[in-house]
This record gives sequence, C-alpha cells and structure tokens, in this order.
Amino acid sequence: MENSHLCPPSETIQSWVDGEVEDIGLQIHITDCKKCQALVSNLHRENEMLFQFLDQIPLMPDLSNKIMSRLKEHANPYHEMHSLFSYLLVTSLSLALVILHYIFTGLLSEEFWPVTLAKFLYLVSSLSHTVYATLKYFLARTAVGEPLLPALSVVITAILINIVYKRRISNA
Amino acid sequence: MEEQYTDSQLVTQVLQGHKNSFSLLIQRHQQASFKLSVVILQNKADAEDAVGEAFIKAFNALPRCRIGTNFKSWFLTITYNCCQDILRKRKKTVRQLTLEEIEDNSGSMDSPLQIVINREEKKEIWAALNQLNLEDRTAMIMKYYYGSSYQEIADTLKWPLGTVASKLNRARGKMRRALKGGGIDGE
Repeated sequence: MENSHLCPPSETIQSWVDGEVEDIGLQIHITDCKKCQALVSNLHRENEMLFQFLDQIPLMPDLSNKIMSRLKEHANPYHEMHSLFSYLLVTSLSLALVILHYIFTGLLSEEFWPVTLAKFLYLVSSLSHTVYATLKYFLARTAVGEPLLPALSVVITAILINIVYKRRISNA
Repeated sequence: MEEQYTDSQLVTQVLQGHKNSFSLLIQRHQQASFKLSVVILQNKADAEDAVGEAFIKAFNALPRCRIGTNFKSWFLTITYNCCQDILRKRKKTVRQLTLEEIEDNSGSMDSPLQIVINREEKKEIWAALNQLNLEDRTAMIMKYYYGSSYQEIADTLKWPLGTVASKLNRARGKMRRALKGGGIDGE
C-alpha cells in the first residue's frame, strides 16, 4: 500500500541510504512505497556510478621511499645537533654582546672599565637576588594556602611546556 | 604480516619509534589521497606534490592525533588542506584535466565499442563533477568513494553537521542536471 502523502523529503531518504539515519518507520515506509523504492534504487545507482568512475582514476607512482627519505633527512641527528648548536651560538653571542656593551661603554665614560665591570657584576647579582626573592615570595604564598599564584604558575608552566614540546615535534 | 595491522596499530608503532611502519601507512593511503587531489587540483603533478606534503605533515602531527581517530579521514583532511594551500599559491588558473588524461583503460576487458560507450558516460560524469564547487566535489568524493561519515565530512570542510545532508543533496541535484537525461522521479 502506498502512502505517497507520507513520503519523507528526498534528503531524508538520501541520509538513510548513506547510513546516517536509522529509522524503523522510514524503513517500513520505503518497503511499502514504490515511489521511495525507486528513489532509493536511483540513489544506489548514482552512488555506484560515481564510485566506479573514481575507482578508474589511474594510480600514482609509489611515493613511500621518497617520503621516508625526506623524513629520515629531517630526523638526522646531525640536523638536530646543527639546530641546537645554532640556537646556542645565537644565544651566546647575544649574551656576549650585552656583556661587551656594558664593559666597553665604560670606556667611553670617565670611569675605569674595572669599575663598570664591577657595576655590571653588581647588577647581575641584584637581578639574581630579585629572582630569588620572587621565588621565595611565591613559595611563601603557597605555604599559607594561597591558591591563585601556585595555580597560575602551574598553568603558565604547562602552557610553556606545551609550546616548547609542540615546537620540537614540528621541527622533527 | 604487516598487512594485518590496523591503521591505529601502525600509528601506535610509529609513535613508539618504529618509523618504518609509517611506510605501510603511506602505501595504504597514498592512492586515495592522490585521487582526491587530482579531482581538486586538476593537475597530476600538483596532486603528487600535495600527497607528499600531506604525508610529511601527517607524520609531524601524529603525536597530536587523538586516540580513536579514523586515520583515513584525518589524513584526507590534511590532504584537502594541502590542496587548498597549493590552490592559493597558484598564480594562474590551471586548465581542467580532460577525461583522456585521467582515464586508464589498459586493464579493461570491455570490447572497443563498450569502451567508447563507457567513455561517453565517463565524460558526462567528469564534466558534471567539475561543475560542482570545490567543497561540494570534495564532499561527494569523501562520501561516495571513501565512505566517510557526515561528521568526518563536516570536520574536513568545516561545515555544520546539520548542513552536510542538504549540501550533498544539492550537489547531487546539480550533477543530475548536468548529466544528460538525468533526473529522478519523486524529487
């Protein structure tokens, strides 16, 4: 018995044919309705036609060896060491330039360079003391149960580790 | 022996340091990726480049691949994105590939007459497929050649899930109108 007035939209039938919808009622309707059966049949035919057409596109040459060679090249320990060396070199040079700046600008001033060097060393020790004092403050806050600062520190650390980890993976 | 491993098992092996397992993944999925790329890029050389780039990106992104992800669909997404990158870099429009450039009848057992008839049908299908926009074409291939789910199509093309069915339906309608004598009763 046909219930053509109850036929669902073609989009619904398509979703059912595509396996995205499981509807017993729809299945029963299709079983009874010739119009929907024709639609289902045509949809299957179209799917098959498209599949057969795409299946006949010729194959490409095997790229596995070429791709694995590229991956091995990027994973070369020399390549990694070279990257690390470059990173250390740039960092060291930058620090050296900063130190030399403080030392040699002393020559342009009226003070002797040992005085400038002493001032620089004092600056470094002050900075170390400041970092130490900051850490001590954080630890003290943690000890009294202050939740925000330790939580914030953990979150920031997690984010930084994630960024560094992802950067290392993407450079592999 | 390696053919018995699933994609998930191979991915796990690669992440454990057995990089040669990735070679098997390449052999399994490169042709599927190539077919999608050819249809999108209309150029075999660019399609091969896209496939190569996609595998490199997939390898680097494997640690971020969620457990339980369907590798094939995930990789097709990467392929699609690589094709998009190549399309953006293209400075001029590439002419559409003709059917003769992509078809391969070398293994066909059909008679010459049947081959001619089939070729005419294929030309129509190819022309109809190329009338679709890039996203619709990709969706049709993912669904009706690779069997991807609506969710996977939505993830790849960044469509809302609820619109996938209607977009596929419209794409099919366009293809039917483009095909000679097309049309389905009951539409």
